[in-house]
Amino acid sequence: MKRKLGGTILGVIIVICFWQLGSMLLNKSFLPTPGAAGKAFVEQLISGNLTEHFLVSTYRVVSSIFLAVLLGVPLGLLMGRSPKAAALLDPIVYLLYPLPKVVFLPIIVVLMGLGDGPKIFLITLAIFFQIAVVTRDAAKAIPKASLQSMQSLNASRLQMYQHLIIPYCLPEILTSLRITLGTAIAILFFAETFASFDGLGYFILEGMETRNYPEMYAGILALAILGLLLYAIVDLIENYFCRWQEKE
Amino acid sequence: MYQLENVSMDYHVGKKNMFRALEKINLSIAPGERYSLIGPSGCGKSTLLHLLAGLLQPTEGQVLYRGKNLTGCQQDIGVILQGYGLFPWKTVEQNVMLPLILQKKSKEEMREKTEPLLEHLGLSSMNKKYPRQLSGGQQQRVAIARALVAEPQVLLMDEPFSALDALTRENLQNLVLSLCEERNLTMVMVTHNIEEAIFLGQKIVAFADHSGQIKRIDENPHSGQTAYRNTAEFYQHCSLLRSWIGGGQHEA
Repeated sequence: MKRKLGGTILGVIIVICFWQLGSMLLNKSFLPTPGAAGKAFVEQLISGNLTEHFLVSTYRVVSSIFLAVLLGVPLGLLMGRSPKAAALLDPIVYLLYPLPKVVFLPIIVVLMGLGDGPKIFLITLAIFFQIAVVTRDAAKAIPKASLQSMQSLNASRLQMYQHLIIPYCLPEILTSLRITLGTAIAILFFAETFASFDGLGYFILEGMETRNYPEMYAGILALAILGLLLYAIVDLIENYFCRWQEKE
Repeated sequence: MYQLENVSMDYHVGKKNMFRALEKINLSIAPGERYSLIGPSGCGKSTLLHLLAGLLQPTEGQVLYRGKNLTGCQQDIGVILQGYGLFPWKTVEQNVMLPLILQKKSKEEMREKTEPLLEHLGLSSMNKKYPRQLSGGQQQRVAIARALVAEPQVLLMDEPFSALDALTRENLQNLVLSLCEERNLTMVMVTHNIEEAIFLGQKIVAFADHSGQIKRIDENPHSGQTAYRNTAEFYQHCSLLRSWIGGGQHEA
């Protein structure tokens, strides 16, 4: 854990160094120094302005991930364990999975308005398929011997899921979650820059449009912190629920 | 205990082809008897074990268990499948308790049944460890404990000691033997190992080739006697069994 924290700090220092160097070399207003961006970040945080946008974005992205897991995991498990469900759902998933979901944003906004709903819906839609497909593949890969082992113990269908299928798929589900976090934040940014009046995407866009670049970078910094926090939460969940993988 | 009447088993190979794994097997297993099933790979011995466990249903004929048609797995049949069948996300204790958890026994009853068994099998000190932290022999002990925790009448094992070194294998064979005697268990074990088949099986069912038929059932009155392992008679027995199942291609 200490080593991981040390690595994170070192990574941040390296990024800041490159940023400082780039800013000094370019010497343009659109790339302020990390110091100027940091100052704007602290000022906006103290004023509460950035905090408000940060909380709105956090609510949107966390709700979306929660919904995507709630819908995608059961669907993936069903597709992975039931050939009948797979025969019906696989073609639908293959048809919709590769589509770039952001193209639906204008339609979603028309249908659902400008509130949190359409943004949460879009992010959920974008990551739901990835989670469902990874879960499905994990559920399909369960060794026959493990299934027979549970069967020989007279396990009910529910007990099969509780003691074998879900624990077996959990590491894969968490990996899919880690991969989809990047997509979720990218879609969040996009959705908040389109017909939106709050959130970090809006904050960053506003900074860019008013040419208040330090403020814009303060928003980007907040978005990076949001991503870092979400990754840390997934890691914590994995460390707890998949601790059997780590102990030597 | 078991009565197999004209049991045949077919597997689908692709969409149209069928493969007959077992052909008209007739076998009677009395309570408390120990059987070894031996033969070359793909001869049908594991299929027979799966039928006895209720994991498979025969294509033809019937498997009677305690006089009734065996249509599924039973709580009083303990099964150890190839590769131990332990769940890596469960600790030793959780793995052993699993049959009782599935049977929704009270925590007190689970403790009462699990703790003495872990003690008896020398697993008490490692009850909080995960399977990957254990040696192959220790993992097999956990699998044995799990198969026995619900106090079954029958113990079925599919190549239980194949991945273990010779010394660990002998220790576990002795352990299984003493458990079978203590609990008057009916035991059926699939093995590739001729010495193991002779040491543990009061009756040795030899499958010869890929016809799916039993070539011979050998009475083995000296099974379970440690001293028998070192006699010339034992090695003659091994040699005879080797010739029945197809000659020198199997480990002795």
